Amino acid sequence: MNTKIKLIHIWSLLLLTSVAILLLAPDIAEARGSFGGRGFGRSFGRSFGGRSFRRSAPRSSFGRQRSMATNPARMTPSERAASSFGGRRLNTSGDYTAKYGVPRKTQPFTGTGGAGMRQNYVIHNYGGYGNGLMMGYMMGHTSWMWMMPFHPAFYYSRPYYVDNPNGTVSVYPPTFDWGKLFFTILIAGAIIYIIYSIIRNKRRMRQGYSSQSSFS
Amino acid sequence: MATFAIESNGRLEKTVVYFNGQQLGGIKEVFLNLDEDGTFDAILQYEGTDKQIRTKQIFDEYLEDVKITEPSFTDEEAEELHLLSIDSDGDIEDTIVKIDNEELDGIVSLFVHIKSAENKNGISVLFSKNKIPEHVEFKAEITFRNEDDTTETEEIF
Repeated sequence: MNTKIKLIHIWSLLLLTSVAILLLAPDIAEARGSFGGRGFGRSFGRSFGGRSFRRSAPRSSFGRQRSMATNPARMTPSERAASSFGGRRLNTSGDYTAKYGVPRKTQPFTGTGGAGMRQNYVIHNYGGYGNGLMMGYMMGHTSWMWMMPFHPAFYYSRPYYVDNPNGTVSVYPPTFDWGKLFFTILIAGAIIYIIYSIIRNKRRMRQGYSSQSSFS
Repeated sequence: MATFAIESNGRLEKTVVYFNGQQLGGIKEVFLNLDEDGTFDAILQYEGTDKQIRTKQIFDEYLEDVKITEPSFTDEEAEELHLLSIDSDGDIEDTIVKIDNEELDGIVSLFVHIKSAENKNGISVLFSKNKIPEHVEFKAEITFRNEDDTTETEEIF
């Protein structure tokens, strides 16, 4: 019986860990992509983006029509930006400013996109912690600690991108993600509860069948 | 003469053992096998205050380092339980058996075997090949001789 309870606890822990990994995987993948590195992060980011499906069909580069989706030159500026920095694409700047108001300061920035192309950005500074995070993402100065629940950056979204008609990309600071905070508290609470119940059961086992028995 | 008693409702979770009026704790096994032919086995296995497992003859040996606990049951709770007590000096000829403080006679044999399942702690239990847990033993019965010389066996608890 006790073995069964322990096995249930272990399965619960594994399930929670899997859920946590699934929740974090897109962020980790995007974060790796922001460094411009190869391997894991990047391939994951692309798989989630859906582009790999279109690429995976032709085994050879010859004998087929050219895929527009894989040509970096045909991508919109923010698509290039997204593959480089992660983040969300907004339709218009109004989507962000309607919620967070007018930026304190706006400054141009030239960076390198995902395909290695130079891209002009317009960075909108709102001040505060989100602003620092945005600059970190733009400069590529991110840390693995940002993906950890004990770091405040974990609870922020990625920067927001808007394609401007002149070919530049407007960048807006990340915002606080209440959903992520809620799920983290939920998962942490569940893990703490499981650990607590394991300890409580062990203590009960040590005490014997119950306090109303001489047998142990 | 010592008094050994078991108060129970037939379930291990509600079974306490008394020795000379004091409730004992850390009991692993109780084995009583008494019959009119002179068989007198009264064995108690317990975990002492020093965590050592000891096996003793209840009425012949001193129960050293035995754990004494506070009474578990209130008077109201005890009303729902049965109390088997044995007053003896280790000889069947000088043994009085009572159930609920009522002295019994015409006993042919008394058999009690109560054993708790072994508690395995630690992570090793998860990798144990033995998936069948050790079962709890709880058997307590008395055989009486009726007036017509027939025998009848009754459950105690």
